[in-house]
Amino acid sequence: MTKFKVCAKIHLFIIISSIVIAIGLAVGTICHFCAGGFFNYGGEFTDYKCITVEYFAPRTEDEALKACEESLGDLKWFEHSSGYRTNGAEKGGEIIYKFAASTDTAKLQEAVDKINEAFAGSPKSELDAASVHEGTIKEGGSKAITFASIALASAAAFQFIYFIFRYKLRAAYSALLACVHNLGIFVALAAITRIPVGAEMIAFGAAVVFLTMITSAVIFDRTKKNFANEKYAKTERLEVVDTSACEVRVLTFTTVCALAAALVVFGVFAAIAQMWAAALAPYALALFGLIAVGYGAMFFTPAVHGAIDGVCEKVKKSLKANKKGRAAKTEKTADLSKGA
Amino acid sequence: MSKVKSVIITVLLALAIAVAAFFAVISFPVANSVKRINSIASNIHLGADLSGYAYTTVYPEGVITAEEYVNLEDNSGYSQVGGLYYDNTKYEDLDQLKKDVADDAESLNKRFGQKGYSSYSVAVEDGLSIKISVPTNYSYAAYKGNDSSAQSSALSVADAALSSLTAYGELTLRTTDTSISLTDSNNNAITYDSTKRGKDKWVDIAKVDGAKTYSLANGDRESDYFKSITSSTIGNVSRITFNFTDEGRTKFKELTTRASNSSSKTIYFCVGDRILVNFSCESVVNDKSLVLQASNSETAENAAIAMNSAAGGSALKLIYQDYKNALTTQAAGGENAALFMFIASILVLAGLCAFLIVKYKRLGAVVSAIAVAFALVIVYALYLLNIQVTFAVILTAMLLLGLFVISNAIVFAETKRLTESGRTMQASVKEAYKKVLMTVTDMHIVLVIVAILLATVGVGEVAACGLISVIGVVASYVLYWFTRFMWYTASSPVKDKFRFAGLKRVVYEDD
Repeated sequence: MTKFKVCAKIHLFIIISSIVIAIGLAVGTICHFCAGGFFNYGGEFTDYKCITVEYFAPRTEDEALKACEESLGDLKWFEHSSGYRTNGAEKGGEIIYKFAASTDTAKLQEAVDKINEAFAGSPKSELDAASVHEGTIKEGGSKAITFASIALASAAAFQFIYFIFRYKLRAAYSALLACVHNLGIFVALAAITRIPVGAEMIAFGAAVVFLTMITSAVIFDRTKKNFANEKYAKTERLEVVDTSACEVRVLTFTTVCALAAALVVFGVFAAIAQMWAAALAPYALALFGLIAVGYGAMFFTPAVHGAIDGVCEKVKKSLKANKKGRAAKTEKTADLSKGA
Repeated sequence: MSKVKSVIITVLLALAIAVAAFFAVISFPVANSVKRINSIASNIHLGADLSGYAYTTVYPEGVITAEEYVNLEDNSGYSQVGGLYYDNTKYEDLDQLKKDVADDAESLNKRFGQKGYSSYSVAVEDGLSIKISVPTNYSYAAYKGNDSSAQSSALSVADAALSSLTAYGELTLRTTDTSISLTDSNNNAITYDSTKRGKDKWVDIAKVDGAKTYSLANGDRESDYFKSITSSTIGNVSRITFNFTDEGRTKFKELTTRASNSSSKTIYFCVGDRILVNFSCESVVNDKSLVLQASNSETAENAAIAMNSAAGGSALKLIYQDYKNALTTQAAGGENAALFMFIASILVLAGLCAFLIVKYKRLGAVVSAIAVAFALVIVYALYLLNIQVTFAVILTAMLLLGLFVISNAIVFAETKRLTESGRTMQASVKEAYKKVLMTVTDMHIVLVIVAILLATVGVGEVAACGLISVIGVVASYVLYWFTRFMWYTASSPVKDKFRFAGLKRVVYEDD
């Protein structure tokens, strides 16, 4: 792994990244019009139908739950919560089952009738009752997304300026491209896999930028040092970028793997806590972020940096040559006029 | 450094970490007392995914639930919509009612959006009622019922937010006096009748301690007085600032003239029938803005958001039934999600320490101890800064721990490279820290700026992640240098310094 040269394979990485991002955009766009959103928005963002079961003391939550489970049959709910009255004299609570908005209301009403029948069979409080409702969620995350985007854009701009001073303009361009690329891959993977997306996606997006900045700083610093190293004085610049990428690859790989391992541990515990595999969704999203950062840092960023550096060097050389040519021409003209 | 010094410093560090860790994670009952000392970790505020939501449903007047419908003596005037019933004598146009409810939900969504919650939701149910859910903000101790005062105070905070922000109606400025004696510019005695609004008799909808309140605005629309109403909290002092329009300043001057001449000398700032702030008005106010002190930051924020929304044209259109106390749910991530996340964090930290010890031997143990110290800094910061912990915040904390370890891994790799060139350990360490200084500093500078941007510009969960990142990045940099110090301290008495760091000395033939 440490010997794998990436700069020569830039076309391959650009093709891979473009395909992933293009598929992501295509899937997202199609789903935006056909399946209710660019991403598969989680429960907190989607409209729903729900069965609300209100119970009062002396009926207990367990008794109410039992009646619900028996009546719901094979109806598939995506979220279940129990609410408790914590204030006031009324003891008891509410059990809410949320279903996809496309669920047949008649079937839900049938289940509700069964619950009400079960409650009537063992009367404890006249107020115990179940009902069906349709809910339309008001988008609550738009402000968070807007402000996070502003913050991240300003952060990327700051990084760009800082890198201009620290590692030259070409590295700053590469770092900016790395941020955009990694975020693009992350978003594309989330859109392709249709994993339910919640409010935490914004924070994960920020984490992707955060990690990209760390890995970019490590790569460019090593590259800068190697360019200054006498050992590489006669080596091709592209070769130096490749060597630098190889040198930091183990560190990047270990970091990404360690973070992925930590995510797996958290994911497993979250799934156990909720006793539901769907609890893994945010961790899968975070894992996509790590994949984007890992791929970007190990392959895409050094390859792109090598290419940008090569182009910049060519431009620099041609400018120098032009300048030399102009100087020689001026000298020649001056000589000729002297001779004349 | 002498062996004694080295041992003293190492033992002191170990003791400090042990004591800090003890108070951070261990909760215990105090003997012969009903009191229980809850750990720092169990006093950290949790997001909805770890401690659940507090929610309430608001119904417009004339809209009732199925249970209420069944128990109504005469329910002939009601029609069903989904699981709800509405009074069709009160609302002849159902579509208009649904539109008004949707518009009010949008206004409420904007109001709750300004609270900076890590997550919240506003949903319209059956087109006729609005359900609002906000995080309970419980600590683990409160969530589990081990700290009943924290539980009730967190609940009352959520209740206050739900109650204040769902206030319907216009912003009005009121008094308890029915009439106020004044003098005009010619010193003639006149009487201001506060029971009238213009030509109409004032409708008394807000009550103070059972007493009716009346208008001070002499028929004006009070919302036009204000450009904006904001809140701010510095230290323990919370303020609400009312910024007047040019016309509003003049009008408010007249209004304070009336209020200062009234017997109660108090102006009540109401939204609909809810009194959000009162202002003891002893003299005439003629400033560009009015600053009032509030009892706490929550009260100031809730009042400012509700009043600003009402003054800014987003007053709720419908009249709603009395606020019902919020219900709480179990954690969205599972009843014991917080406990499981805590165990997972400990496991990850333990795994990291094991990895470091295996890779760097005794040096790994030193870094592990400092990694534990780093984790403790994060725990204490979460507690002291009242940061609401969610899954995303936990993962950010892990990322920051990663930053600390990467910084050290870079310098260790450089040291290894230098020792391979035949240098002594001391020379390699010195040189390595010098060489990677800019790399590590660069990373931290860039990240701390990013974190500050996220903390200040971001809202909700992102802002929480940004804030903890600022602390984490600074802690990572400080502890990075502390690791250097501890490496020097702990390895001083050791003869084979190469072995201490899990390295082998390269012996050349010349040696």
